[in-house]
Amino acid sequence: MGELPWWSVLLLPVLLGAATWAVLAGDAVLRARAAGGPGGAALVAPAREVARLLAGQRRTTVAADRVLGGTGAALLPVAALLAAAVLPMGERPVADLSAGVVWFNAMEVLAWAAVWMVGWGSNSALGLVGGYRFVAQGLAYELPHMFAITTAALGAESLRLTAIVDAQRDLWFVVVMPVAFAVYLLSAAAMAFWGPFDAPVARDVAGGAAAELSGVDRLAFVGGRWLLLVVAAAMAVPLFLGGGAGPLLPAWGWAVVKTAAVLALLVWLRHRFPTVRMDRYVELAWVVLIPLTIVQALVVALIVLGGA
Amino acid sequence: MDLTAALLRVAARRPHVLVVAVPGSAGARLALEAALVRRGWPLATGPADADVLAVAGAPGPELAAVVERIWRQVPAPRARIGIRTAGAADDALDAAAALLRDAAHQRRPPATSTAGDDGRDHGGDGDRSDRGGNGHAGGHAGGHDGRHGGRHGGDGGAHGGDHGDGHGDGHGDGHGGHHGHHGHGDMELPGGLPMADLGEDRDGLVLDRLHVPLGPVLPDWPAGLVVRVALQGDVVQEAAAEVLDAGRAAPSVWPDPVARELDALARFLAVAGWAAAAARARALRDGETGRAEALVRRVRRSRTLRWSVRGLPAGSTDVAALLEERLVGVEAATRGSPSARRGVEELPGLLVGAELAAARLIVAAVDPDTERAGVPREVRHG
Repeated sequence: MGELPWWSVLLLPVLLGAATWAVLAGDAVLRARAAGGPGGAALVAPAREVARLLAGQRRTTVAADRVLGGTGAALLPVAALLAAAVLPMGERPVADLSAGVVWFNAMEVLAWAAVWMVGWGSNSALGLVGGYRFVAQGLAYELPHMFAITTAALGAESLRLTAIVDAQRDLWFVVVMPVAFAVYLLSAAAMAFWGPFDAPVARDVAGGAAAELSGVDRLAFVGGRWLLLVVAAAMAVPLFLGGGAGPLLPAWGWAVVKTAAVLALLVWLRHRFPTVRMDRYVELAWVVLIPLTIVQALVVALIVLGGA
Repeated sequence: MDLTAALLRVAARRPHVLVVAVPGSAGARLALEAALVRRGWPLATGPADADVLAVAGAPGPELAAVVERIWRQVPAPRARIGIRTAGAADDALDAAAALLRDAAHQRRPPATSTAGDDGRDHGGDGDRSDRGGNGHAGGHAGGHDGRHGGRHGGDGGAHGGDHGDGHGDGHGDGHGGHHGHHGHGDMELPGGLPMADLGEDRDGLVLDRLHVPLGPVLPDWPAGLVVRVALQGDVVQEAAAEVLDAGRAAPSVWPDPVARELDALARFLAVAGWAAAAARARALRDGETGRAEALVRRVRRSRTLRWSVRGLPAGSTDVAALLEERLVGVEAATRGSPSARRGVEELPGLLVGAELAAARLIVAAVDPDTERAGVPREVRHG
């Protein structure tokens, strides 16, 4: 129990960066195979992409709000890293906050502001549309998402992530609360505007919120988005998949394996489904998912009361 | 050690390419897209995302002027190529990669960093005649020009937000000239840009209205098409469609009508955000058109896609019906009886009232024939 030593703060970006690299490369391989091209080169695609953006010139648009847009782009990776601070890597997180679940959720909502700021800051119609699309998306996915993570906290009777992991020693929460887990997976994709929820940066609006970004601004934005995806996927492990629990492998090994499995699922989701229109999803989310997650929370509450 | 040069060398192995499609040059575009797939080079979403600006075909004066503006928005390191014939794609891409790798070349001032120059004449159409009056610098030439102020009769200039988009706009600045007032003398405006004007929305509220040109350089957009829309929020209030250099080029020669239908279907699937199916459609288009029907079945089976487009209004019909029309078109072509294509003039009527994402789907599903001379038409809301 307890926290990792202070220097693990420095390790966090490295670990997340490595995980991000892996998922980026996997996604690039899948995409190359779908197009019928060579998949091998896709493995080094992340390195080439980073080099491209590091060497790229920054650009601006007429009357752009550079402070706002720049802050937004930088905020995205920062929010992802801060969210990861409460993530148990193996058994212990960098910061074992007593309200870890709330902290994670707060950091994730920062991304709404970040994407909107980037979209608004570029002073471009398509960027603006992309920024507002993400705000609308937030309204759609956030409520079921909050009920889902609340259910996990309810099951453990604690908002502390290490306590949630401990509570799953006998039975993983994914078994007790499958609906909450499924909803969490959807919102993990939605919060990283990924997969079927990528409308805010879609090709139909020429990159949307990111339409006018180049160079390091784009690197921060795109990198931050990937980090967010990895963190959201990794958070499913302590919340629903028993954290580092498992035979043979050390706790961190199991955390990595389970995170990779969740990420693979999210990558598959993106290749399998077209973009979901948010006006349709909001209907599904509010009419179907919210009642379902509330019922799920109720059932878990009854189990907890019965057990106590 | 020259770090930038090292980065440029690594980056030049996988540049993003912004493809400008020219009406009548589908052969060159297809060869270019196939070459990009072989190399694993991604398609750029817009000028900001591009390293290589590739013009597939020989553009007419209006499109060349747009290419010139787009080029000014592409950040360094960058290269520009023109592909006139299908056989030229690989050599041109190699040349572009060589330029991107060349640190000395990329460090030169922008004026000299064009290669394989394709945009020749861009002065002929009175283009940019109002630029000085608006007082904004060249970097973002697209998007706005004072003409809307004129068209909407004294509403004090027209649109605020869209100067960034630049993916759009073409030309046509001639419109401004004959109304002649841009009405932005009274107020200090950000960047010298006119503010958004006001108009009634569909509920009768008076809200900001932006004039945004869509095309001709947008991802998965028909070649040479420009749709000028007035947006409130992201709902299209007015739309006017036209084709740049209309009637100039002879229609593209398609060896197989199924390939043409698959090309259009790929654009629709890409706009619908289904990259994997779009890639499949393009792969079939470039080789195995005989297996098109399997893809059609797969698209029909997708519940998510149906759920997304069903009941999405497009004029008097919905996007699902337009998609079905497109799928039937593929099937008809495989049976050797290709169906007639819709004209550009049908677009505005379908677009008014749609929001931007729906408008993109409608344009992709209709896939108007931009190689036949169409008459530009404007439909106004209300």
